[in-house]
Amino acid sequence: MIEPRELPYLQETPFTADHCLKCNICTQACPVVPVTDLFPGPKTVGPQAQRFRDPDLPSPDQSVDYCSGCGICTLVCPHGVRVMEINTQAKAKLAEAKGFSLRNWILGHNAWWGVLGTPFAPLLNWAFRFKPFRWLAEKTLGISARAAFPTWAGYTFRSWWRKREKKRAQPAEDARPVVVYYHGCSTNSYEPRIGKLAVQILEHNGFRVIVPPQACCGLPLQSNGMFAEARRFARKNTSALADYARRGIPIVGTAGSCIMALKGDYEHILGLHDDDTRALAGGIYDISEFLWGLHQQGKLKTDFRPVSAFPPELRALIGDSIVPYHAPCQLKAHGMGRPALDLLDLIPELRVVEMDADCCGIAGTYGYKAEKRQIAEDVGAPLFRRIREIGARLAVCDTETCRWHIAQMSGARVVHPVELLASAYGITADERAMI
Amino acid sequence: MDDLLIIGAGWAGLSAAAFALHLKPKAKIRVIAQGIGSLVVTPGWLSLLDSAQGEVLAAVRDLAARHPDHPYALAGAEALERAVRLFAQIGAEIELGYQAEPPLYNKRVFTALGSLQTPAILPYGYQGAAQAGERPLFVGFEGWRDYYPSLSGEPHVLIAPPIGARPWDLTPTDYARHFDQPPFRAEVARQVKARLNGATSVAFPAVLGLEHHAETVQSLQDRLGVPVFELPTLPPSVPGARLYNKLRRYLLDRGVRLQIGHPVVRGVREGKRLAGVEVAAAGKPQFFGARAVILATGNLYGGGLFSDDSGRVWEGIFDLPVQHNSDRQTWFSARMLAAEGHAVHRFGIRADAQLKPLAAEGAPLAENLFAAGHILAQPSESPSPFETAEGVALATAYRAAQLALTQP
Repeated sequence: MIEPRELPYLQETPFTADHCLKCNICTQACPVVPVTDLFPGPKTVGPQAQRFRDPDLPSPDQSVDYCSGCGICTLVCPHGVRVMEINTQAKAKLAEAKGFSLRNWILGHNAWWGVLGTPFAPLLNWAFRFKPFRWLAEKTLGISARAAFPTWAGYTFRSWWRKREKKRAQPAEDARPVVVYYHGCSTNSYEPRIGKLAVQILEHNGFRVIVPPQACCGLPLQSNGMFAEARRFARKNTSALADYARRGIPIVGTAGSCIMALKGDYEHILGLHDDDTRALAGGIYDISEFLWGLHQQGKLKTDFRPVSAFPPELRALIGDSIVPYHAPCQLKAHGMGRPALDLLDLIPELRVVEMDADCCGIAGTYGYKAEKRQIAEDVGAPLFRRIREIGARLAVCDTETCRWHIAQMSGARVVHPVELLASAYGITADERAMI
Repeated sequence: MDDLLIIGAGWAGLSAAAFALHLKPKAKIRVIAQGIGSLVVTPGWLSLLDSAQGEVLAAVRDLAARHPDHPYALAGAEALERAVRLFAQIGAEIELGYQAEPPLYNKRVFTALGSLQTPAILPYGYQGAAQAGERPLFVGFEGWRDYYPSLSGEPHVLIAPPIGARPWDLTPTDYARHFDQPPFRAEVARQVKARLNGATSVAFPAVLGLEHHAETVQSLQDRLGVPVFELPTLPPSVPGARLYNKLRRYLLDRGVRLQIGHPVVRGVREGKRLAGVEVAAAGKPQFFGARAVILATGNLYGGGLFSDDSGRVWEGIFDLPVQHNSDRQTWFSARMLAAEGHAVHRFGIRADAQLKPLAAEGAPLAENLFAAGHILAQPSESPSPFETAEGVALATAYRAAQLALTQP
């Protein structure tokens, strides 16, 4: 299904293929190409195959399924071809023609499992660590038994938020500027601590945080080719949040890839060109982007404690080492630089260094698929090796599946930038300290 | 706010960043580029003045004296030598074998089409060409469409190392990754050795390792017992990628921000200065403030200049006036590989003696904007810009970084 064209001809994703010189720079930079023969490269399945893709005919190319969607091709292209976006649309075309597997349907609906699983957290967390169960899931569904699954927290960020709001006395007059917090599914069900820290960091900087109803960004559906459903999620978010953006209320999130979906994918991959989508795209911020923006205006509180005053556990993990920072592919796609790194540089005694690896390999749900698991491990191998060589026991990364994958494969603990910022501000996710 | 913001990640942009680090180690430096930058489409060697007969730096000084509006002259007499010395220092750290201690003399290297080139500074892979001897053997890979050794010279052989099912479909980088694996090298050496037939050296396309280049060249030489050297291939270039990868690590390790992907679309003025630049990012434009900006986006090839079918040529970010011929008939020489190059390659912006780009009225556009590399116009009677390609990039990058870092 192609929506009516509303962008200038050559900016429309499928037609950016016309800018392709076939230089193969994207093939050279693609992290999947070196580790498998099953993927002929972004140029071949992207702009090259695009010539054979009639909107009304089935996609001619199956190997595009092995594209991880990391988007490095789009970034390195000197001519503005949206290679990854073309590939993602082609994957959706494949799913439309061939249908999708139960496995991809399950992985695509992460939004549901997070919430539905919360009451059964102990059981599920046990099951996902129980090897025969994982073996069975691999054999029957094709979900890799080796992939690191997150654990259910047993409560949701939203439930914590509701309780906190009830307990706290609401001041009659609140002149603080308002920000909307967009938590995403993972923070809601698996890592509520990140949301708790983010909210407090924003409050520490003088904001009133609100958490209006919101939906999954739809990225797992989008990358598994289920565009129709992904668009339904997108519509929920645009209609829930666009008004805040129009009123100049920033929407701030902690999930780098989800934010990117709202910022760019809705328009350039899902083909939504309406006013709500554009307003939301212009008004949503990654939390580091938002905080760094404050700092540039001289409005960020910089009462950061040095590492030596961090909680002992974190201090021990950092030790004398530099802290490796991996900028996830989806975060690079924002085009906002490395605001997390810029912020972390403000913390005394902390030495954070950006790794030169392109992709950690997991690429959302890609590395959870049994047939792609080895690829996901091999793609990230240089990054894992570098972290081990440095001897770092703590690393930083902005997106969840990347964090879990890097942690599993490198042995380091991998935290979100807000976890370090919070420690530097003296903020904890401890219940008593928070209310 | 950054101390220095560099637009462009080609030879000029990346070396400006590296030089700035050496000139002021604590400076906050950011590089922003649309796409990966031109290193991966260059052979990876450094042309300073390919036609120089004697010491190259002296010949460049002479060239600058004869052409006061040449970028070498704008960069100043000392810039190239200082740039080259610094590059040698960085080259030693990144272990690609770039030796650049003056005095410098041009080297003789082979091309894939059997001609000779004479750049001044070479990475390991090309260095063996100096010991090619009477009878170099040109080696290619069976079924590979990117390199035909018979075009490079005779005698030639085609070998068939184990590279999987689709030999025709591989890029130079794919071969380079195979060469990073010791068993693959050993097999290549075995097949070539059997067909050496008295060769005095062995030439390969430039795919001898991506991550482990020096080790690859060394191990092949050890096994074959004769000098081994590379010939540049079709793009994307492996020697260019090696340099890019190593420079990237070098810069990131030292805190430089390297943002590849989204283009700078305009400058933000504040009186006579630039407050910073705006990037066409996802969702909304992103502003990056800087004390000084270096424009190193290249010419029509690099993406700094644009043209259309009316003969108009423009600069894409600051709309700087471009020195060019408006008659398109005069843009190209009659022969594609004409030694003098093409007029179109000399098009570029004009800058003052401080490398500050000049606006339409002839005054600098902004006090803290500097230009480096091939976005600078080259005078029509001077040597072809290809002869001085990397030299101009390095010299102007050095000078621009030096001037930019003195900004308040």
